Amino acid sequence: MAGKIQHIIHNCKEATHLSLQKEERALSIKETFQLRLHLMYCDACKQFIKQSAIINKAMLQIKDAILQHPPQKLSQEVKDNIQQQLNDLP
Amino acid sequence: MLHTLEPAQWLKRYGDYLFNIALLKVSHTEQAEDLVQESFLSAYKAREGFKGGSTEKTWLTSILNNKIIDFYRKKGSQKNAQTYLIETEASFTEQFFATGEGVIPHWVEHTAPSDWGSQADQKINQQEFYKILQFCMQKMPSKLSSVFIAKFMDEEETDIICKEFELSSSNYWVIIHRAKLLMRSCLEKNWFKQL
Repeated sequence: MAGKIQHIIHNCKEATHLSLQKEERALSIKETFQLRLHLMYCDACKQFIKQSAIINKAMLQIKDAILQHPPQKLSQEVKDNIQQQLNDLP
Repeated sequence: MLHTLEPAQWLKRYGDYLFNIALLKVSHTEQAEDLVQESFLSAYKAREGFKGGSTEKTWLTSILNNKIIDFYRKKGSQKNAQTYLIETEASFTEQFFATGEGVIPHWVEHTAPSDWGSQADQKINQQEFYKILQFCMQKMPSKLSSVFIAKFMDEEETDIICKEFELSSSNYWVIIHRAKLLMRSCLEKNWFKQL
């Protein structure tokens, strides 16, 4: 038992994996216990969870950001070529 | 309200947008250009079928997404996710967590998430940030980024993604986990720690 608890407390790989699943589904009772116990001792994983939420939010905004300020541009040559082909279609 | 199409404006309005979306999903400029071109041509041919239920932009983006899925299917690059994940498991884990015989995988000092500060939420509202986010996506192995993008940018349902990429649910979660670890550390290094 002590070994198991040690394992939960130190296993950041497993805790971060579980925390990501928690964003999408309800964890089982065992998983919930496991994650809560881990987070009582692990500030780094608490940061990970917060940061994951920030990343998710950014990913939802990136399309708008790209639409407003596209960082890369199609070259004029490619644009002309596409326009030409569109014009040739019936 | 029903939306209408204005093909004469497509290139001007959405050309660069679709090009950048494509660049997130395929690594080469030429491939991205080809995909954008094919998308516009297909869209034009299919314009009679547009029902107006979505915006022009959404409709064009979904056509591009289908082209990209076909592109990857043809390349067969989503096959063998299982083998890929198994082969790279040890080296991947090692990048982030302490490993070794009998070692429980915990963060090591230089990989542990550090505090992004109380303003982290606002730091993502800057235009510069999205260049870094794009850079970090492009840096990820495409087996990971394609799934990550489908999930978090395109907001597709997990079971649809698993079907599309022929993934088991457990492989899906391994991919999401890896992609998030890579993305987090890339953003920390190139953005949040720089400010």
